[in-house]
Amino acid sequence: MTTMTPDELERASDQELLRAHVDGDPGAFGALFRRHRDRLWAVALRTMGNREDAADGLQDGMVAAYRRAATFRGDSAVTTWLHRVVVNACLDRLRAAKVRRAEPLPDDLEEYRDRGSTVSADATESADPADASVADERRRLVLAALQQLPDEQRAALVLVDMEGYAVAEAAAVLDCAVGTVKSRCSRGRARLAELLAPLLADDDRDGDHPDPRNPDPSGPVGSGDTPRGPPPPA
Amino acid sequence: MSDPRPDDDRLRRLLADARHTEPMPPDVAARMDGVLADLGADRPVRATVTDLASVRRRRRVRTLLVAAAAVVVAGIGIDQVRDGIGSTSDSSADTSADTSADDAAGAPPQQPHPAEGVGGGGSLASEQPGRVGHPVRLDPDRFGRQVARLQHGGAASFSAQDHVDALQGVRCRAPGDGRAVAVTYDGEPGVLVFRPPSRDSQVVDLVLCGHAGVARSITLPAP
Repeated sequence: MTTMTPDELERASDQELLRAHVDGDPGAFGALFRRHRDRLWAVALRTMGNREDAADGLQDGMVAAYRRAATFRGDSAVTTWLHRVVVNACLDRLRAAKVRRAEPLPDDLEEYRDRGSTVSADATESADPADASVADERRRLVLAALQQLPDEQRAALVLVDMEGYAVAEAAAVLDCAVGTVKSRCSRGRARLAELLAPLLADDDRDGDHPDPRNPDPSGPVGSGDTPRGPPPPA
Repeated sequence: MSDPRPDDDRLRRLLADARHTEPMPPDVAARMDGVLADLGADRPVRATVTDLASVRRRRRVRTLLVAAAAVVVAGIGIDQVRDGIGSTSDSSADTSADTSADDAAGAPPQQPHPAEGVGGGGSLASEQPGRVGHPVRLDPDRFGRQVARLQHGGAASFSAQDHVDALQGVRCRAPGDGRAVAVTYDGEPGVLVFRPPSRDSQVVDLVLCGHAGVARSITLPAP
C-alpha cells in the first residue's frame, strides 16, 4: 500500500485517486470526494428537494462509492460514476420513502434567503431589491414545481437543464439510454410547462413580446404646449 | 420523444436559473468528513433513517391531535420541567450525569416542555422513570434545528456510558462517549448522543431503543 502526500493527492487525477483508494491509500477517496462534493451536493439537493434528505442521500452515495470503488470499470469518467452512485442513492431513498414534502419552500431557500444566495448571479448583482425578490419567487415556484415531477424525470432535468450535462452524460449517470433521458426531460418539461404556466405567461409579457398594456407608440406624440421649465430666477 | 415545445427554452432557462450554486454547507461537509473518518477507521457508519421516517411521518399525522393536546397541557409545566431536570437549563453540557439522573429520579412526574416538544406517551420516562427524566420529543422534519437547540442545553443529560447502563432494560444502547439526552423520535424512544466536539464540529447521533446502530446522525458546528 502506498500513501500519497497531500501534494500528490492534490495533483492526482480522479482515476489515480480512485485507484489509490482501491489500493489502500487512506486519504485518496476523501481527496476525490472533496474535489467534486459541491456539484454532488447540488445534484443531491435538487433531486431530493430538501437539505436533510439531500445530506442523507449524499451520504448513502458516498458510502456506496467508497465501498464499491473496486467495481469501477473505467468505461466512464470517475466523476460520472460518482454522480451515478449519488443520484442512484437519492432515487433509492425517494423510492423507499415515497414522500412528497409539502413545505412551500425548499429548505435551502429558507436558510439562505437572507444571504442573497438563492437568486441568480444577475439578480444578486441587481441593485433593485424588487428584482431580487422576483427572482427569488421565480426560483421558489420552479423548485416547487420540480418537486411535483416523478423522481426519474426530475433527476433527468436536474442533470441536463440545471447542471448542464450533455444528454449522453446524463444517460451514463442515470444508467439508461440516451433516448430515455430525452423522453424523461421532454415529459418533465411538458409537466413543468403546465405547472408554471402563469410564470411562463409573465415571461412572455416581460421578455419576448411587448407589454400589451403599454404598446409602443406608432410615432412621436407632440404637444402644443410650451414645455415647463424651472421657474425664472427672482 | 416528442418535438420541442415553444416553452422548452424558457423552461430550461428557468431551471438553469434555479440551479444550486452554493458550496456544500459546512455542517454537511463536516458530516461527510466524519463518515469518511468512520469508513477509514472501519467503524460502523452512521446510518440515516429516511426510510423509517417515511413510515413515521404517516404515523405522526395520526398522532398530531394527541400531540397538540399534550402541548396545550404542557403550557403549565414549563417551569416544572426546567426545575425537574436539575440545574441544567442552560449548561447541560457541563452537568453531571449522575446528578441529572438522580434529580429526575426524585422528581415527580412532570409535563412536557412545549417549546422543545418534550413528552409523549410510551416514552423512556415511562419505562425508566427514575433514571432518564423526561425525554425531548424530536420531529423528523425538524431534526436538525431541534438538535441544534439541544446542543446548547435545556434538557436533562448525562454521559452516554451511564445511559447505556440506565437503559439496557429497554434495549436502548448508546455506544461510545458523549453527552446523552433522552428523546422520542417520531414517537419512538431513543437517545441523542452529543459526541465530544472535534476542532470545529460536533457529531450528534440518534440511537433508537430496540434498533441496532445509529438511526440518524448530524454534524453541527462545535459549541
